[in-house]
Amino acid sequence: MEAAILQETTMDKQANYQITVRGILTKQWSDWFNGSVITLERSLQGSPYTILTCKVRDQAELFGILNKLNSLNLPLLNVMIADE
Amino acid sequence: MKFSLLSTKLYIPPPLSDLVFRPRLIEQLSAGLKGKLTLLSAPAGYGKTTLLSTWLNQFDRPAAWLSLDEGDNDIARFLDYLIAALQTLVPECGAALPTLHGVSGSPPTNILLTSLINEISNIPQDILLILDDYHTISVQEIHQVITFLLENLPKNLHITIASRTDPPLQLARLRARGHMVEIRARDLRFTQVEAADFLNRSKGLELNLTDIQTLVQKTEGWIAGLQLAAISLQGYPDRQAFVRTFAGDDRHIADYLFEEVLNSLPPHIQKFLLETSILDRLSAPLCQAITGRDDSQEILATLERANLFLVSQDNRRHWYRYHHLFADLLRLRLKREHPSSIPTLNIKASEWYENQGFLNQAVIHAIGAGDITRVEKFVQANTLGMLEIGESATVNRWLKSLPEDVILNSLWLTVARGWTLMLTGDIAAADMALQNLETLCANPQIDIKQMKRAQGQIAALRAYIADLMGDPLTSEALAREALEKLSPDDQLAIAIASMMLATAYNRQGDTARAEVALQDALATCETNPYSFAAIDALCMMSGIQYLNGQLYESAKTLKRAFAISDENTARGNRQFPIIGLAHIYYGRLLLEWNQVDQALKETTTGIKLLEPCGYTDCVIVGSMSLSDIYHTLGDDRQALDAIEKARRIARDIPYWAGRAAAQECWLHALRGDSSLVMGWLAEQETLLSQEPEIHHGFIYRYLAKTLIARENYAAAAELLHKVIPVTDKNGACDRLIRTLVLQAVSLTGLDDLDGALAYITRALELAEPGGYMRVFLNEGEPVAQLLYQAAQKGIHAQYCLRLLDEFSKQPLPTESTPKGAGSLIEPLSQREIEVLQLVAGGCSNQEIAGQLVLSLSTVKSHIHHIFGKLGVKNRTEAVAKARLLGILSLE
Repeated sequence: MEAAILQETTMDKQANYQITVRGILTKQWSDWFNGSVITLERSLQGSPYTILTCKVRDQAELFGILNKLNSLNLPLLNVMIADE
Repeated sequence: MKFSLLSTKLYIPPPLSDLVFRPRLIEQLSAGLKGKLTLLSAPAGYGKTTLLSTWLNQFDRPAAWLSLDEGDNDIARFLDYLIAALQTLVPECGAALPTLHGVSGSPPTNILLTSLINEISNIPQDILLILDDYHTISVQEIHQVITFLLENLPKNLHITIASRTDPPLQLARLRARGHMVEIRARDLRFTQVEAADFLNRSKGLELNLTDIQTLVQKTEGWIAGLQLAAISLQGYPDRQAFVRTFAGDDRHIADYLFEEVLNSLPPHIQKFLLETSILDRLSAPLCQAITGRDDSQEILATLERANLFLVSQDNRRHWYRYHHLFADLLRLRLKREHPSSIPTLNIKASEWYENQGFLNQAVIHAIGAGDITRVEKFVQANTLGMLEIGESATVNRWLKSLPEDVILNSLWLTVARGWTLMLTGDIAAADMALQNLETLCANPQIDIKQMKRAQGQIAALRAYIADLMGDPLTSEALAREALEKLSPDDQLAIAIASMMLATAYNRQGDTARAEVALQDALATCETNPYSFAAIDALCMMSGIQYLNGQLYESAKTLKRAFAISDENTARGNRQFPIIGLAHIYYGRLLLEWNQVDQALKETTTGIKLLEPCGYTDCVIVGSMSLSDIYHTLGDDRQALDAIEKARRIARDIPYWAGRAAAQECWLHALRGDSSLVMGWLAEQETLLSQEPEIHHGFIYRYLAKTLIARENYAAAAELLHKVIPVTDKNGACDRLIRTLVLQAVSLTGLDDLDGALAYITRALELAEPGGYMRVFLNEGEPVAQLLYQAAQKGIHAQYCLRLLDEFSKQPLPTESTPKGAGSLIEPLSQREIEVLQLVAGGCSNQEIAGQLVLSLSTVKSHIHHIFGKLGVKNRTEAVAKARLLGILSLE
């Protein structure tokens, strides 16, 4: 499965990311994830997943968010850089 | 600055009371002891720590435990804690090793680790090292330390690492070789049986099989989830209904259950939990300070008993912390519902920590409160003190956790940054910080007194920079300005400024004034417990005494410094790496007294202490001294290595760069490498044409030595003739002695033996009180002859005879003359002959490199050696001589 890369970035540049995890995070978690926008979706099979849309300052901030998701036991389904 | 919180990091968590029996995992852990590493890698809430503590409790082997956190991401601190953990088993372990602290930059010496490994292998038992929460470590150097340990693991040591993520430690290799046992989430999650045991036996919930199945399925065996479920269930009369609702709810488990748990608690406990969530560690007095509740101790006990994610940190029920996940959820709740209370709570915590003398935590909470004024107050009062005891990593961390614009707008935070940059020798960045300060000081709103104090420290910083840039006059002026403006509250800054003044005088050769300034500095240090500054000042004092030719007094002063250092460590404090400088100075004295092997030991000890801490100028001094020692021992390879290293480090520091270059060039001159030397000599033209100034004395001497090495005695004599009166006038006895001896050698070269004798006589007179030896021994045969004549004439006869005695004891390295022509002392190697043949064929270095498949630098190195061995200065001479000696055929 080929994914088109929408955007390029460097270690220190700002970027937008879409992170998808299995499970549900309510909108109340947005603050903890540096103000990311949280949207809920359901997969075809009916199990829920959450998409976080975040604007990060740099790669370090991105990995901080990924680590937080890890600490909440949320399996990662997708990490994708989004358009500006 | 107290370190008592350290003991909580070494504390082995006690086993829980309502433990679930997990024999299969215990067996796995025990079986894992056959390998090198046991890795528990699973997210939070899978019971890693509990499992380990249970296992240790059942098991007999002595264990060293270290709980890691983000603050341990500093190589010096990490190693300190590692050694401290091992010391809980073996108190003397690592005690003899120099403790590291302070600045990052240099990699940790594997030498330190190797000694530690050797010590561990000498322990008569098998021991365990357990590193908990290893995922908090992100610094590459620390991973390298662990990798090194694993690669060189003593047979009696086993390492266990618990982490939420796989650590970057060559796991694939360990796995492949069977050196590692892994326990992962799939292993750690509760099975049906274990869940049943937990829920029904431990928690007494009396759930039926279906309910248990549902819960296990829903949580996927996640232990923290089941724990939260259990707590919620305990407060719920209709258990089946709860399970059904729970199963049907899609929300994140922790979210859901956490809400349930929290809501089931009495309001005052909820409040307590939320308020204390800002703390990393909890104790009853601290909780009381924050919540205002005098029943804090009882509440903590209740929480611990209820297993509400409160973990004790010592065996006296004094310090606790929340389980990480729980703390995160609490903090989130607090932020959502009572955001305005967060600053207040943090201030209360900060104040409590301040009163207890826990400076680091006080600052962290001040930062958490967003109270920049308070942060500034701490930083202003404590930065220099922190740097003195080597806590620069802590200061750096404070600065890093603040937004850049806050620092740039704050006078004192920028000053603090300036000092920490100074320590690493990052002149460029420090300069930028100072420029920023200039702008800030222009702000009319700043209090006049504050401004003056800040300006005093700025002046001291700039004095230091000026010194490194090789401008002692400016340095002197700035140091004086600093002393004028500094407030009596800044005693340490005053001591530092006095030392800067002393240094500036020193550089100008005014040792008398330097000594006065140093006495001032020492007086300030003695009325305060500034051990670091005292050692620094004593080192400088001994340096001045050395310059005055008072070698014995110099040694006595260094012994004082060693005494202070020993007393400091005896008090339980960490050793100051600056004592390394005392070792280096002592090595220099020993060298002069011809105790060369001892000198080597002291100097290498000194460098080892200083290197990891980034005391750049000290390391440069040490390396230059080391080069001298190796040269005296006849090991020119090491001598060149050492001086090249000095020059590399000194690249951006003009004062040292010039000196290192001078010493290096002279070594090359001795080996007959004229190209490098010619280049350097050309650069010194301007210097030669000017009136000699005392602070270029070192370079003049090495210029003279280089000229002598090239047998250009006339030029050497002329140069020295100009330099000597200046040196004489400024009373730097040591420099004068050395210059006089060089002049004696030059005049011998010009056959003016009477003149030479006169100079040697003067030198002997000045040198005798200090017991100088090497300054004479280094010059070899010419000086030996002069000494012989002097003895015959009754000039300092005893001294001369003693020196001649030393001469006879050793092979004479003829320092001032290059390896003579005639037969080859050292034959050319096969490779060197090959290179020479190509040279004879007219090949360039590049062509030779291509033909012989070598690197360009290797070729140059070979040619170097060829010239040295043949005693020639260029390719033509080399080829000619080689043909003469029959090494090359005559074609």
